Amino acid sequence: MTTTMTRAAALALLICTLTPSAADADFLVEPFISWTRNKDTERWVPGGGASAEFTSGWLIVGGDFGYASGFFDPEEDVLDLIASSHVLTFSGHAGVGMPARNDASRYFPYFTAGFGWMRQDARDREGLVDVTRNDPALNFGGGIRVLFTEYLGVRADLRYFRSMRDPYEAPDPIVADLERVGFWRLGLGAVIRFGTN
Amino acid sequence: MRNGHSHTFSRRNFLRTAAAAGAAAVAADSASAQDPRVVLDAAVLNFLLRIEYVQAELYREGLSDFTTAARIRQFDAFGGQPTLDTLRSFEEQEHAHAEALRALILRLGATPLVSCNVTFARFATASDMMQTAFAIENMGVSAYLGVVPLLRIPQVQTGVASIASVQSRHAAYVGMLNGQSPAPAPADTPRSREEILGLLGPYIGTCAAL
Repeated sequence: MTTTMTRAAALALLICTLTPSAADADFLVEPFISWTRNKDTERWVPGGGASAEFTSGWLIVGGDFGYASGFFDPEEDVLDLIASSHVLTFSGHAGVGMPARNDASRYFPYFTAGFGWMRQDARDREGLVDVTRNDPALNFGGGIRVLFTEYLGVRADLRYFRSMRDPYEAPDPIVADLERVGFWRLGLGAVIRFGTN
Repeated sequence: MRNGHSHTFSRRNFLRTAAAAGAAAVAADSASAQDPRVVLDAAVLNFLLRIEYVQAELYREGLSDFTTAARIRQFDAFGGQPTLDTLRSFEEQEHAHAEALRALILRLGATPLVSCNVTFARFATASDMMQTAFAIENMGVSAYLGVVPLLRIPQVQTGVASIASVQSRHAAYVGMLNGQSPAPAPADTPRSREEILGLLGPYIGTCAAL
């Protein structure tokens, strides 16, 4: 009984701590450019995307899409065999971050994790091989926002994405060692804040 | 000009194993690439397949030009009958290379080129054929050299490297018969796609996929 009450009190305290008044709510739009690391090709490939987040006190809920062009291209393709490749992510996430209500601070670190969709595509120049995958994917990461004014700032975000689907359903031994696709994405971009406090 | 030919063939340990595994993969209905990471390896293999079709056809058509006693005697300057026998074995090896490459592509779940329309003008002399063989074998060596660093899947790397070394042996052998050094430089240089397709251009036409 005591244990139950202690747990309930702790939960109530957590909720009170994390649930701010409506006056603390912010809506953030964050376009970014990115560099995505493909560990198979050992390349950082350029890309971009945008996030939209609703923050309320310490809580963050939002969504994100990102695009990385040439994700499956090799570093030096002297034979120019890949016509195009990319990876596209679209996901929702939630997490915690320092609220922007503290006027004395301009730096707001955060951490979020989420779930969404990862689209991978590559096709060869001959038009013989064209593979598109749509996988459920997890992501987690964090970063920091730096607000220069009440409504504008910049953000750095480092995030890991991982497919939740095996590469082959019935793998031939030749591809049996392929792991699920996973990659880090470094995003640098702007923060546009629509705050209510 | 003569009609080109599709190829159906044979042999040798790794190559036979690869082919059998490829057939099994098809039988298992797994001929659908499911991961974009295999696209580059499959594209490399198809690129090499094009070269193998040209090389196989070079020896098939070339040797068919030297069947009469008078024509065969032209090869005396290049070693005579033993050389013809060796070139015939090269033809078989090029077929086996093509078969192995196709099998690897199928195991990746991708679509191989099954044939290319390849034509060679009738060789007027044995020397003409040997000069052409020298150019095409060396083109093959530089092509294999260029693709090995691109491959991501270890078993594909092994398969391609095992063929690349044989390509080098062919080039060295034909080079020596042409009075060239079997190893003219301490290191070979890979060629670009444009250079290789330019060298293949006079001989190769359209290719068909499975």
